[in-house]
Amino acid sequence: MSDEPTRQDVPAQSTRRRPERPEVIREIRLPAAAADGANGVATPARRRLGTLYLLTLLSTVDGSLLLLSASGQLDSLGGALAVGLTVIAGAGSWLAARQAFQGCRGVGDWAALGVLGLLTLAATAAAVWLGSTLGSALTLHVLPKATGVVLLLVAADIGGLRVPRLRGVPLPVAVVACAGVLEAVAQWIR
Amino acid sequence: MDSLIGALVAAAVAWLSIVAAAVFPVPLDLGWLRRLGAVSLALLGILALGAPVPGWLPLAVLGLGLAAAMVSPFLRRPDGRGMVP
Repeated sequence: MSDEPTRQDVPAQSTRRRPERPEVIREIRLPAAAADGANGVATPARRRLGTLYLLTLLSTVDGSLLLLSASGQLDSLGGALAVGLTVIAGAGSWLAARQAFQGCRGVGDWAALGVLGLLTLAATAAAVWLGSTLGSALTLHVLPKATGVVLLLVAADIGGLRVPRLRGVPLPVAVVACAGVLEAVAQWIR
Repeated sequence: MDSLIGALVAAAVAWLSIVAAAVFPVPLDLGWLRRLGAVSLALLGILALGAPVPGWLPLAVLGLGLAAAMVSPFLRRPDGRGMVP
């Protein structure tokens, strides 16, 4: 990753504008740690909207919400609020929302927010239903602990620590996969 | 509380916070937001590992951190742009 300042679209000849203050481009490792546009790169509104959707819905497909519900973290109001504000939404989603909807907000923007709400509700309910079904059908041994490890790894990445990759696969994803295999082995042995 | 109701509460709160971020853009320091999110998430992870941490602590840390960021002039950016730590 280069530390060069970002090249802006600069008109040629005398109408050259001074590029904005160069800011360090930080390598984005996990989508949860990414805040699109935060590094000074101008991105189209549609791409920013895509980033918002990705950051908000990621936890429903990467297994973290499933693991959290399987380990019973959503059974209390405080737990549900904490999961909603840190795992489903969070700093990345808030920044992406701010950048996607800055300026005038038209009907299309409100529709995009409404669709995001419906998708978030549906995807979260599906992931939690799957997780709670799994948790009630089986006595889980490995997955609840893996949840904690995954959350710590994602927190480290968001906090700016370098979380390594295993052959290109983010470590939290590898932990979820390993935990799934170990859990299956544990269930088979019992 | 049923976990499905917990899921709906979590999703609704997440969506409302995103709508609030879109409608009321408060220029906060991105570095602070990231660290705050990281600490809250780490506390949630420690909780999931079974450590004796109060369940309300991640939420309290997030709420207090956000409140401090809104009050403190050092954690706000007048131009509204994020800042990479």
